Amino acid sequence: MAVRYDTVIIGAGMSGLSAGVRLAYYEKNVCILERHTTIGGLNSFYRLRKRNYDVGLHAVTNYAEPGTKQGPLSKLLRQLRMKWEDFDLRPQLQSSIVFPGATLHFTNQFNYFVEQIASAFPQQIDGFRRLVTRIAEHDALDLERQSVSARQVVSEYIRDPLLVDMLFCPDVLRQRDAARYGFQPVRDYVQEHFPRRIRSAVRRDSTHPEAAGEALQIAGRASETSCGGSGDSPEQRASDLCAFG
Amino acid sequence: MTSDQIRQVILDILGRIAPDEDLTDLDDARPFREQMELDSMDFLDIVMELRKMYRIQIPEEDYPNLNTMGGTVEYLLPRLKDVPVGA
Repeated sequence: MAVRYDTVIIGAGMSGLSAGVRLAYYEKNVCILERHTTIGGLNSFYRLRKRNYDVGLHAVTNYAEPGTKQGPLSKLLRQLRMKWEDFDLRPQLQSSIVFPGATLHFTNQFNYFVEQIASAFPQQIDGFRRLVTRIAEHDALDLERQSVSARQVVSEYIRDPLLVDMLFCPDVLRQRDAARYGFQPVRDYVQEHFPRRIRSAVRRDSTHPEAAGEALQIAGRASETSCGGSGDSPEQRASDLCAFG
Repeated sequence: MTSDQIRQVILDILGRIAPDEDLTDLDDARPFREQMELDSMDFLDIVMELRKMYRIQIPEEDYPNLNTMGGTVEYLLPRLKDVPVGA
Protein backbone atom coordinates (compact mmCIF):
# COMPACT_ATOMS: atom_id res chain seq x y z
CA MET A 1 0.00 0.00 0.00
CA ALA A 2 1.43 3.36 -0.98
CA VAL A 3 2.12 5.80 1.84
CA ARG A 4 1.92 9.52 1.25
CA TYR A 5 4.44 11.75 2.92
CA ASP A 6 4.17 15.48 3.36
CA THR A 7 7.90 15.84 3.57
CA VAL A 8 10.89 13.77 2.55
CA ILE A 9 14.13 14.55 4.31
CA ILE A 10 17.41 13.40 2.84
CA GLY A 11 19.87 12.41 5.51
CA ALA A 12 19.35 11.19 9.05
CA GLY A 13 22.08 13.33 10.50
CA MET A 14 21.49 15.87 13.23
CA SER A 15 19.84 18.37 10.93
CA GLY A 16 17.62 15.82 9.23
CA LEU A 17 16.52 14.22 12.48
CA SER A 18 15.84 17.59 14.11
CA ALA A 19 13.87 18.80 11.11
CA GLY A 20 11.95 15.53 11.20
CA VAL A 21 11.13 15.96 14.89
CA ARG A 22 9.88 19.51 14.37
CA LEU A 23 7.80 18.62 11.32
CA ALA A 24 6.29 15.57 13.03
CA TYR A 25 5.39 17.84 15.91
CA TYR A 26 3.47 19.94 13.41
CA GLU A 27 1.57 16.82 12.39
CA LYS A 28 3.31 16.22 9.08
CA ASN A 29 4.02 12.74 7.75
CA VAL A 30 7.77 12.66 7.47
CA CYS A 31 10.05 10.23 5.70
CA ILE A 32 13.76 10.43 6.44
CA LEU A 33 16.06 8.75 3.95
CA GLU A 34 19.53 7.65 5.00
CA ARG A 35 21.97 5.80 2.76
CA HIS A 36 24.23 4.71 5.59
CA THR A 37 23.52 1.75 7.85
CA THR A 38 22.98 3.91 10.90
CA ILE A 39 21.68 7.32 11.82
CA GLY A 40 23.57 10.28 13.24
CA GLY A 41 25.41 11.53 10.17
CA LEU A 42 28.56 13.33 11.15
CA ASN A 43 27.79 12.57 14.78
CA SER A 44 27.69 8.82 14.45
CA PHE A 45 30.00 5.95 15.34
CA TYR A 46 31.66 2.92 13.82
CA ARG A 47 32.10 -0.42 15.45
CA LEU A 48 35.31 -2.36 15.04
CA ARG A 49 36.26 -5.47 16.98
CA LYS A 50 33.59 -4.93 19.63
CA ARG A 51 34.53 -1.35 20.28
CA ASN A 52 32.65 1.79 19.30
CA TYR A 53 34.58 4.67 17.80
CA ASP A 54 32.81 7.99 17.89
CA VAL A 55 32.81 10.10 14.79
CA GLY A 56 32.24 13.80 15.07
CA LEU A 57 31.32 15.85 18.07
CA HIS A 58 33.11 15.30 21.31
CA ALA A 59 32.81 18.82 22.52
CA VAL A 60 29.93 21.23 22.56
CA THR A 61 30.45 24.96 22.72
CA ASN A 62 27.97 27.29 24.36
CA TYR A 63 27.77 24.85 27.25
CA ALA A 64 25.25 25.98 29.82
CA GLU A 65 24.24 24.53 33.17
CA PRO A 66 20.96 22.60 33.27
CA GLY A 67 18.12 25.04 33.82
CA THR A 68 19.76 27.93 32.00
CA LYS A 69 16.96 29.59 30.11
CA GLN A 70 18.86 31.64 27.59
CA GLY A 71 21.27 30.67 24.91
CA PRO A 72 21.32 28.27 21.98
CA LEU A 73 21.55 25.03 23.95
CA SER A 74 18.46 25.81 26.00
CA LYS A 75 16.53 26.72 22.87
CA LEU A 76 17.57 23.55 21.12
CA LEU A 77 16.48 21.34 23.99
CA ARG A 78 13.18 23.14 24.30
CA GLN A 79 12.33 22.93 20.63
CA LEU A 80 13.24 19.27 20.38
CA ARG A 81 11.52 18.49 23.68
CA MET A 82 14.67 16.95 25.06
CA LYS A 83 15.81 17.03 28.66
CA TRP A 84 19.20 18.27 29.80
CA GLU A 85 19.81 14.80 31.27
CA ASP A 86 19.40 13.23 27.82
CA PHE A 87 22.57 14.98 26.71
CA ASP A 88 24.70 13.87 29.64
CA LEU A 89 26.99 16.85 29.14
CA ARG A 90 29.82 17.72 31.46
CA PRO A 91 31.59 21.06 31.66
CA GLN A 92 35.18 20.81 30.57
CA LEU A 93 37.94 20.69 33.16
CA GLN A 94 40.56 22.48 31.12
CA SER A 95 41.82 22.84 27.59
CA SER A 96 45.12 24.06 26.27
CA ILE A 97 46.31 25.72 23.12
CA VAL A 98 49.93 24.70 22.71
CA PHE A 99 51.99 26.37 20.01
CA PRO A 100 55.74 26.57 19.63
CA GLY A 101 56.62 29.51 21.83
CA ALA A 102 53.44 29.83 23.89
CA THR A 103 50.78 27.92 25.78
CA LEU A 104 47.35 29.16 26.79
CA HIS A 105 45.04 27.20 29.09
CA PHE A 106 41.33 27.85 29.28
CA THR A 107 38.28 26.63 31.18
CA ASN A 108 34.61 27.61 31.07
CA GLN A 109 35.52 30.57 33.27
CA PHE A 110 36.39 33.24 30.78
CA ASN A 111 38.34 35.37 33.26
CA TYR A 112 40.85 32.58 33.64
CA PHE A 113 41.57 32.80 29.91
CA VAL A 114 41.99 36.58 30.16
CA GLU A 115 44.56 36.06 32.93
CA GLN A 116 46.38 33.52 30.77
CA ILE A 117 46.67 36.00 27.94
CA ALA A 118 47.80 38.76 30.30
CA SER A 119 50.51 36.45 31.51
CA ALA A 120 51.69 35.07 28.16
CA PHE A 121 51.11 38.17 26.02
CA PRO A 122 51.32 41.22 28.33
CA GLN A 123 51.64 43.60 25.37
CA GLN A 124 48.34 42.37 23.90
CA ILE A 125 46.09 42.26 26.95
CA ASP A 126 44.67 45.76 26.48
CA GLY A 127 43.87 45.03 22.87
CA PHE A 128 42.35 41.73 23.87
CA ARG A 129 40.03 43.35 26.40
CA ARG A 130 38.88 45.84 23.76
CA LEU A 131 38.34 42.94 21.35
CA VAL A 132 36.14 41.22 23.92
CA THR A 133 34.04 44.38 24.22
CA ARG A 134 33.78 44.61 20.46
CA ILE A 135 32.61 40.98 20.26
CA ALA A 136 30.06 41.53 23.03
CA GLU A 137 28.57 44.41 21.05
CA HIS A 138 28.46 42.42 17.84
CA ASP A 139 25.00 41.48 16.67
CA ALA A 140 25.43 38.19 14.86
CA LEU A 141 21.79 38.13 13.82
CA ASP A 142 21.74 41.51 12.10
CA LEU A 143 20.81 40.68 8.53
CA GLU A 144 21.66 44.16 7.28
CA ARG A 145 25.27 43.92 8.21
CA GLN A 146 27.94 43.09 5.61
CA SER A 147 30.15 40.08 6.10
CA VAL A 148 33.54 40.86 7.55
CA SER A 149 36.57 38.65 8.09
CA ALA A 150 36.92 37.56 11.70
CA ARG A 151 40.69 37.40 11.33
CA GLN A 152 40.77 40.95 10.03
CA VAL A 153 38.75 42.26 12.98
CA VAL A 154 40.84 40.37 15.52
CA SER A 155 44.04 41.65 13.91
CA GLU A 156 42.84 45.21 14.50
CA TYR A 157 43.08 44.57 18.24
CA ILE A 158 45.83 41.95 18.50
CA ARG A 159 49.19 42.87 17.00
CA ASP A 160 51.04 39.65 17.72
CA PRO A 161 50.43 37.19 14.84
CA LEU A 162 51.22 34.24 17.14
CA LEU A 163 48.35 35.15 19.45
CA VAL A 164 46.03 35.68 16.49
CA ASP A 165 46.87 32.21 15.17
CA MET A 166 46.40 30.71 18.61
CA LEU A 167 42.96 32.28 18.88
CA PHE A 168 42.13 30.81 15.47
CA CYS A 169 43.79 27.52 16.33
CA PRO A 170 41.18 25.09 14.92
CA ASP A 171 41.17 27.03 11.69
CA VAL A 172 44.96 26.94 11.54
CA LEU A 173 45.00 23.17 11.95
CA ARG A 174 42.54 22.71 9.11
CA GLN A 175 44.45 24.77 6.63
CA ARG A 176 47.85 24.96 5.04
CA ASP A 177 48.88 27.36 7.84
CA ALA A 178 49.46 24.35 10.04
CA ALA A 179 52.84 23.65 8.46
CA ARG A 180 54.08 27.08 9.50
CA TYR A 181 54.11 25.86 13.11
CA GLY A 182 55.25 22.35 12.35
CA PHE A 183 51.71 20.97 12.72
CA GLN A 184 50.25 18.48 10.31
CA PRO A 185 46.79 19.39 8.98
CA VAL A 186 44.18 17.23 10.76
CA ARG A 187 43.00 15.47 7.62
CA ASP A 188 46.55 14.36 6.72
CA TYR A 189 47.16 13.20 10.29
CA VAL A 190 44.06 11.02 10.27
CA GLN A 191 44.83 9.52 6.90
CA GLU A 192 48.35 8.74 7.97
CA HIS A 193 47.49 7.16 11.33
CA PHE A 194 44.12 5.54 10.66
CA PRO A 195 44.19 4.45 6.99
CA ARG A 196 42.68 1.01 7.54
CA ARG A 197 39.81 2.30 9.66
CA ILE A 198 38.79 4.77 7.02
CA ARG A 199 38.98 2.18 4.26
CA SER A 200 36.96 -0.39 6.20
CA ALA A 201 34.28 2.18 6.96
CA VAL A 202 34.01 3.02 3.28
CA ARG A 203 33.82 -0.70 2.44
CA ARG A 204 30.92 -1.19 4.84
CA ASP A 205 29.02 1.63 3.19
CA SER A 206 29.46 0.17 -0.26
CA THR A 207 27.94 -3.20 0.72
CA HIS A 208 24.60 -1.47 1.19
CA PRO A 209 23.94 0.32 -2.09
CA GLU A 210 20.33 -0.75 -1.90
CA ALA A 211 19.92 1.36 1.22
CA ALA A 212 19.97 4.44 -0.97
CA GLY A 213 16.37 5.56 -1.53
CA GLU A 214 14.90 3.19 1.05
CA ALA A 215 12.97 4.72 3.91
CA LEU A 216 14.82 4.21 7.15
CA GLN A 217 12.73 2.49 9.81
CA ILE A 218 13.57 4.81 12.66
CA ALA A 219 11.82 2.78 15.32
CA GLY A 220 13.81 -0.29 16.22
CA ARG A 221 17.25 1.06 15.29
CA ALA A 222 17.54 2.12 18.91
CA SER A 223 18.65 -1.41 19.75
CA GLU A 224 22.16 -0.53 18.58
CA THR A 225 24.50 0.89 21.17
CA SER A 226 23.96 4.63 21.28
CA CYS A 227 26.74 6.92 20.24
CA GLY A 228 28.72 8.29 23.13
CA GLY A 229 30.87 11.30 22.70
CA SER A 230 28.75 14.40 22.58
CA GLY A 231 25.96 12.73 24.54
CA ASP A 232 23.38 13.89 22.05
CA SER A 233 21.63 10.66 21.15
CA PRO A 234 20.25 10.09 17.64
CA GLU A 235 18.31 7.23 19.14
CA GLN A 236 16.62 9.66 21.49
CA ARG A 237 15.70 11.85 18.55
CA ALA A 238 14.58 8.79 16.63
CA SER A 239 12.24 7.69 19.36
CA ASP A 240 11.01 11.25 19.71
CA LEU A 241 10.16 11.18 16.02
CA CYS A 242 8.08 8.05 16.57
CA ALA A 243 6.35 9.58 19.57
CA PHE A 244 5.25 12.57 17.51
CA GLY A 245 4.56 10.85 14.23
CA MET B 1 -14.70 25.58 28.99
CA THR B 2 -14.68 28.49 31.39
CA SER B 3 -12.10 31.27 31.50
CA ASP B 4 -10.36 29.64 34.45
CA GLN B 5 -10.21 26.30 32.71
CA ILE B 6 -8.83 27.88 29.56
CA ARG B 7 -6.25 29.73 31.62
CA GLN B 8 -5.14 26.48 33.23
CA VAL B 9 -4.89 24.79 29.83
CA ILE B 10 -2.61 27.58 28.64
CA LEU B 11 -0.51 27.27 31.78
CA ASP B 12 -0.18 23.53 31.17
CA ILE B 13 0.90 24.14 27.58
CA LEU B 14 3.44 26.73 28.71
CA GLY B 15 4.68 24.25 31.28
CA ARG B 16 5.38 21.72 28.54
CA ILE B 17 6.97 24.21 26.16
CA ALA B 18 9.08 26.04 28.73
CA PRO B 19 9.42 23.63 31.65
CA ASP B 20 12.11 25.65 33.40
CA GLU B 21 9.95 28.76 33.78
CA ASP B 22 8.22 29.70 37.02
CA LEU B 23 4.66 30.55 36.04
CA THR B 24 3.14 31.09 39.49
CA ASP B 25 3.19 34.89 39.39
CA LEU B 26 2.29 35.33 35.75
CA ASP B 27 0.74 38.72 35.09
CA ASP B 28 -2.20 38.23 32.72
CA ALA B 29 -1.98 41.79 31.44
CA ARG B 30 1.70 41.79 30.45
CA PRO B 31 3.04 40.02 27.34
CA PHE B 32 4.31 36.48 27.85
CA ARG B 33 7.61 37.44 26.24
CA GLU B 34 8.31 40.03 28.90
CA GLN B 35 7.85 37.53 31.69
CA MET B 36 9.56 34.45 30.33
CA GLU B 37 11.97 33.23 27.69
CA LEU B 38 9.62 32.71 24.79
CA ASP B 39 10.56 33.23 21.19
CA SER B 40 8.52 33.09 18.01
CA MET B 41 9.16 29.37 17.62
CA ASP B 42 7.81 28.70 21.12
CA PHE B 43 4.80 30.82 20.26
CA LEU B 44 4.05 28.69 17.20
CA ASP B 45 4.31 25.65 19.42
CA ILE B 46 1.61 27.07 21.68
CA VAL B 47 -0.65 27.59 18.69
CA MET B 48 0.11 24.05 17.54
CA GLU B 49 -0.66 22.55 20.95
CA LEU B 50 -4.06 24.25 20.94
CA ARG B 51 -4.72 22.91 17.48
CA LYS B 52 -3.75 19.37 18.45
CA MET B 53 -5.74 19.39 21.66
CA TYR B 54 -8.91 21.11 20.48
CA ARG B 55 -8.62 21.12 16.69
CA ILE B 56 -8.88 24.87 16.74
CA GLN B 57 -7.28 26.75 13.85
CA ILE B 58 -5.87 30.14 14.67
CA PRO B 59 -5.20 32.29 11.59
CA GLU B 60 -1.93 34.17 11.49
CA GLU B 61 -3.61 37.56 11.57
CA ASP B 62 -5.08 36.66 14.98
CA TYR B 63 -1.69 35.93 16.57
CA PRO B 64 -1.43 39.41 18.16
CA ASN B 65 -4.42 38.47 20.34
CA LEU B 66 -2.27 35.84 22.01
CA ASN B 67 0.47 38.14 23.33
CA THR B 68 -0.82 38.08 26.90
CA MET B 69 -2.61 35.51 29.04
CA GLY B 70 -5.59 37.84 29.34
CA GLY B 71 -5.82 38.34 25.59
CA THR B 72 -5.39 34.63 24.95
CA VAL B 73 -8.18 33.59 27.30
CA GLU B 74 -10.47 36.27 25.91
CA TYR B 75 -9.76 35.16 22.34
CA LEU B 76 -10.30 31.47 23.06
CA LEU B 77 -13.38 31.76 25.26
CA PRO B 78 -16.00 31.99 22.46
CA ARG B 79 -14.14 29.35 20.44
CA LEU B 80 -13.88 26.83 23.23
CA LYS B 81 -17.05 27.46 25.24
CA ASP B 82 -18.70 24.28 24.01
CA VAL B 83 -15.59 22.17 24.28
CA PRO B 84 -15.05 20.08 27.39
CA VAL B 85 -11.69 20.46 29.15
CA GLY B 86 -10.45 16.97 28.52
CA ALA B 87 -11.06 17.02 24.75
